[in-house]
Amino acid sequence: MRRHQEMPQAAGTYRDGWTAAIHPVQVVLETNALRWAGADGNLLGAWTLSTVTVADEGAGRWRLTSHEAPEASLSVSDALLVDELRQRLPQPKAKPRSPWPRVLLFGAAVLAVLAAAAMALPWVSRAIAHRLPARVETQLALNLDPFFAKRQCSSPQGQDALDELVSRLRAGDSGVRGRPRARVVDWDLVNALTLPGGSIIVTRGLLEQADSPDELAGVLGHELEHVARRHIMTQLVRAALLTGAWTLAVGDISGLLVVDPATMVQIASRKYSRDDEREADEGAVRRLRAAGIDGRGFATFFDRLAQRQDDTPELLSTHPPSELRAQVVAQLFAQRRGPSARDVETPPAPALTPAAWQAVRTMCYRPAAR
Amino acid sequence: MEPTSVMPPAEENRVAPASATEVHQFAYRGDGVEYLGVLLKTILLTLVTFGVYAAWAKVQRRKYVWEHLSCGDEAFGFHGTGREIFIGYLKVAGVYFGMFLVMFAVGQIWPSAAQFAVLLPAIVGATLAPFAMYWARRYLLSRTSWRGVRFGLDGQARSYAWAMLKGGLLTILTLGFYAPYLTHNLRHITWNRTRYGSQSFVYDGTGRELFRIWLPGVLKTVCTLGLYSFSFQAQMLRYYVGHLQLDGARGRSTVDGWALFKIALSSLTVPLTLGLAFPSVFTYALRVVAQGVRFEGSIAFDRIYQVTTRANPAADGLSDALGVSLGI
Repeated sequence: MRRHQEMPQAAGTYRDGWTAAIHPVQVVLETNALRWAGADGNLLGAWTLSTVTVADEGAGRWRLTSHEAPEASLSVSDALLVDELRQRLPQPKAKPRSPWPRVLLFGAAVLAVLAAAAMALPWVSRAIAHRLPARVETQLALNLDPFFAKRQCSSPQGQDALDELVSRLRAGDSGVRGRPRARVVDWDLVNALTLPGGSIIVTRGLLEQADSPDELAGVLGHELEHVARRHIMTQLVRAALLTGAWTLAVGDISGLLVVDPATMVQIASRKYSRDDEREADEGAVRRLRAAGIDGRGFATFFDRLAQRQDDTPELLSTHPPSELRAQVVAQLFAQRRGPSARDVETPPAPALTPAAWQAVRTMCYRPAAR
Repeated sequence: MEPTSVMPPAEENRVAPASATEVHQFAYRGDGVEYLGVLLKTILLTLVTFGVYAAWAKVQRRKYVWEHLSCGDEAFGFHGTGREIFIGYLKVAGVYFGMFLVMFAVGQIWPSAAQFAVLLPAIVGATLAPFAMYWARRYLLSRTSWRGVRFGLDGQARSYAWAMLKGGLLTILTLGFYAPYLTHNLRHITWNRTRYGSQSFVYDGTGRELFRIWLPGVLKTVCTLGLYSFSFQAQMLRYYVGHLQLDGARGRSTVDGWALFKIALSSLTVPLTLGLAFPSVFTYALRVVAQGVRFEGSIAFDRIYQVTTRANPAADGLSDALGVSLGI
C-alpha cells in the first residue's frame, strides 16, 4: 500500500461540465481513483478509475472523461503522471505517425467494394427481375397504358392476325407470365419495344419497312425472347438499384419516388446489352424454326435497314448488331447453294397469309376503334 | 489582390474597446490526409452495410472536425450518437413512405388526380425546408460543446420560416435588391436565439448597413466579371463576425479577399482528383478561416452554466433529405 505522498500527482485542468469555467487543479492518482483539488486544497471531484476513458489530444496532453459525469473532463499533460496513467488505464488509440497507410488501405478497399458491386449488379438485377411478383409488372404495365393508348392503331382483322402470329411464335414458351401482346403504335420511327407486363410495341414505321410478314415475324420472335427472358424488367431493376444507391450516397430521397411513364419508356428505349441481344437472337431463330417460318427474313431485315443511307433507324440503335445475326445470315445464304436439307420441325409456311398481312399493314390507316 | 478595405467610421465606434483583455482565437488543427482516411473508412463501412452505417459515419466525421477545431485553445466536442441519427433517418424514411402510400391511394381512388399527387413530395418538401434548417441547426448546436458546456438554439422555427417566405417573395419582387435584408433578418433571428450555455449571443447588425456593403459589392463584382467577389465576401464576413457578441466579447474577422481567392483556387483541384482532394481543401479552408476569426473581450466563464436544449435528431436526416443540410 503506497503512502499518500508517493501517489503520483501533477497539475491539470478540470472542466466541471456545469459552468464554462476551467479550474486549474492538482490531480492525484490513487490506487483505484482519481482525485483532484482546487488551488485552495478543496476536493473538487473524484472518479473511480474503472469508469475513466482516455483520449489522447496530442502533444502529450491527455483528456480524461468518466461516464460518472459525462459532460466533465480532466486534462493532464505532466509526463510522469501520463506515464502512470498509461499503466493503469486502457490505452487510448495511438495516433499513427503517418495517415497514408490508412488512406491507401481504405481507399483500396473502397475501390474493391465498388468494383465487386459493379460486377454483381447485372446478376443481382436479373435475379430480382425474375422473382418479382406478377402484380408488379402488371401495375407497371397499367401505368404505361395511357401513354400508348392514344396513338395505338387497331383494326379487328389486323389485331387478330398479329395475335395469331404471336401465339405461333410463343408455342415453345413455358413459364412466361401473362400473355404477351403485340400492339402497333402510330409512330414514324422504325422501332420495336418491349415493356413490362409483356407488351410488345411495333411502330407503323417498322411495318412500312417490312417487305414480307416473315420479316415482321423475325422481329416479333426477337422481342418475344426479350419478354421471356425479362430483359426489360432487369433493366428497370438495375436502374432502380442504381438510383437507390445514389440516394443513399447523397441522402436526398426525392429521386426515389419517380416512377412516371416517361422515365420508364425512356429506359425501355435504351440500348440492349450485347448479351441480351445474343439471347434474343437465339430465341428468335429458335421460335421461327419451331413455327416453321423462313428465318431469312429475320436476318435480312436488319441488314437492309443497316444499308439505308439517310438515317439510322431507331431499331438498330436499340438493337446493336450481334454476331449471331451475322452468322444466321451467312449460314442461310451459304445453304442456298447446297442442298436445302434443314432441320425444320414443321414444314415451312409464310408467317401470315397475304390477306392477314394486308390487314396488319393497313392497321394504322383507319381511326382507332374504341 | 484588393487589400482589406477600411471600415466605415460607424463600425469603429461600435467595436468594444480591446484593452489588455482576452482574445479567444479560433484554430483548426486537423490534417487533410488524416481526414481523408476518416472519410474513406466511413465510406467503406457505409458501402458494406448498404447505407446503415451512414448515421455513425456522420458522427465520426463531425467528431473529427469538432475535436480539431478550437477556440482559445480549448477544443470543441461533438456529442451526437450514431444511434439517434439512425433512428432519425428511419423516421424521415417513414414519413416519405407514408407520403408515397398517400400518393398511391390517391392514384387508385381518383386516377385523374394522380398526376397532381406526384407533386405532394415537392410541396411538402418546400414547405418543410426552412423548418428543417432551423431544427437541424438546433440539433447540431445542442450536441456541440466548448469547455464542457453545450450550445443551444431557442425559439420556434415558425418565425424563421415565415421570414424566409416573406423575404423570398420580396427578393423576387425587388429583383434581388431585398436579398441583404433577407440575409440580415434570418441571421438576426437565429443568432439572437443562439446560446452558449446560459449566455445568449447578440447580433447587432442592421439590414441597412448590410445593404450598404452589399450593393457596391455586387456592382463591383459584376463590373470586374467576378474578380471582386472574393473581396466582397471578405467584407460581408467581416461585417457578420464583427457584429456578433458573446457576453463581453465581440467577434472580429481578418480573413481577406486574397485568402478566399486562394481557397476557391484550391477547390478546383477537387474535381480534378475525382473528389480525393476534398478533405485537404476543406482542411485548408477551415484552417485559414479559423485563423482569421476571433472573439475579443472578456467572457465570464464561471457565470455561464449548462442549459439542456431539447432537439430532435431526426432534423438532421430531414435536412439531408430535403437538400438543405448544413453540409457536415
